Amino acid sequence: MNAMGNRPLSALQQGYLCCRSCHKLIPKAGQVMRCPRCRRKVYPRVPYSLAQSWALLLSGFFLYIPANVLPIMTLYKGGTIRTDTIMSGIINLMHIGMTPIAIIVFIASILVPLLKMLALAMILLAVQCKRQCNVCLRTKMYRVVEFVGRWSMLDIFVISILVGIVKFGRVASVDVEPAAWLFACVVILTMLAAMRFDSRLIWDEINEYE
Amino acid sequence: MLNTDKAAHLEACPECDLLIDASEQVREGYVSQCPRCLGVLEHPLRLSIKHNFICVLTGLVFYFPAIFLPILKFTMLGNTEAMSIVGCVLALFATTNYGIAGIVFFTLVLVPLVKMMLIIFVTTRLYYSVKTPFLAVSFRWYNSLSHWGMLDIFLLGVLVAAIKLANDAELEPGLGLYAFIILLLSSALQTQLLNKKLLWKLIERHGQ
Repeated sequence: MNAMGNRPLSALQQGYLCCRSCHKLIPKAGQVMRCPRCRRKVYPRVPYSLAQSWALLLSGFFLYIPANVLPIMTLYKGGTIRTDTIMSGIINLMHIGMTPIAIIVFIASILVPLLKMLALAMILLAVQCKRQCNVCLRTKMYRVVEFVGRWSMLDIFVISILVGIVKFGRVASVDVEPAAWLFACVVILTMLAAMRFDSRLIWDEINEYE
Repeated sequence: MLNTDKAAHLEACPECDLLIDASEQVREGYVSQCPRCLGVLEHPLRLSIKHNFICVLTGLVFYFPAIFLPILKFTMLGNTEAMSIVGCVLALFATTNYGIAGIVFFTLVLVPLVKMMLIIFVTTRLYYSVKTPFLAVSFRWYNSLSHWGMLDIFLLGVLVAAIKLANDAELEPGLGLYAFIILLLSSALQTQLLNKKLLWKLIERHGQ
């Protein structure tokens, strides 16, 4: 019997489990198993993957709104005070003639988190509704979401650098506002949501059909 | 169920769980992909254990200057301030932004160091084939920490911050920036080209 016949079948359906951390193939035996190589518990699929992903994603989404509306930092400079939200910081970058950098920051801190949450929600919804079309596309989307997620931390690092370098007391200094912390939480929560999701779930329905 | 002779060549695609006969799918010296989801199963461009160790060692040598030496120097109205990563964390801590300080400390100071320590431990033990406990646990921790190292993003952050400040004052790159770039390059090279499959196989042989 060939593993690559006309009908592609998952390892799980043929009685094998794949360890999630070291990718070892283990013949299924019993309910709770440990991987002989890395000593980690092996499950057919990550338990409660979908529910946990949804929970993390939704909490990320609800924090995303205040993170964008509230100010992320205040700049004191020569007696003037300037409070910025994420968007006004980007607009300010454009005003000083730094459009390419403004575009990078816009992509990293507004476009990426939003599109990432939408894409992940679509993937989760499709798995939940047992959809069978566009599986390949969804796998690709998941790969992009996983890769791109950490880059949203850019704004947090920019603020930290500004706090670390602009410390001239009354003359010029930078304060962190609450939205920075909220935004960091959004990034961390969505990263965790993507990590908790078991990408093999996308393909499970296909196995059952063919 | 397949017979045991064949089962030795079997592999499951970690991304879509397709059962693959590795003797047919994986060819030496080529990029091999899962026929169903096109996830990369094996890539020919991988560092040997020795070269990987050299890479990490380079990173470790440049880690401390990168963390402690000033990355940017900022002069405004005659005053000069220098910013290092540790200085950044301390400044955030002093202004009671404990959360942000924690994130910066974790992703830029702690994770890179712990990752390097773990991989040095694993690769040296495997290279000299010493039977050691905790090899599998260390490598597992290394793999799960690698999501949280954010050196590359910090470098882009330095660029953005420098441009934001360029109008107001004079900026100068510090020694720390060069050390940081070397640390970033060596760590990216080491993480991307790490032969995880080989390491897991060796751990299975020598570990526990």
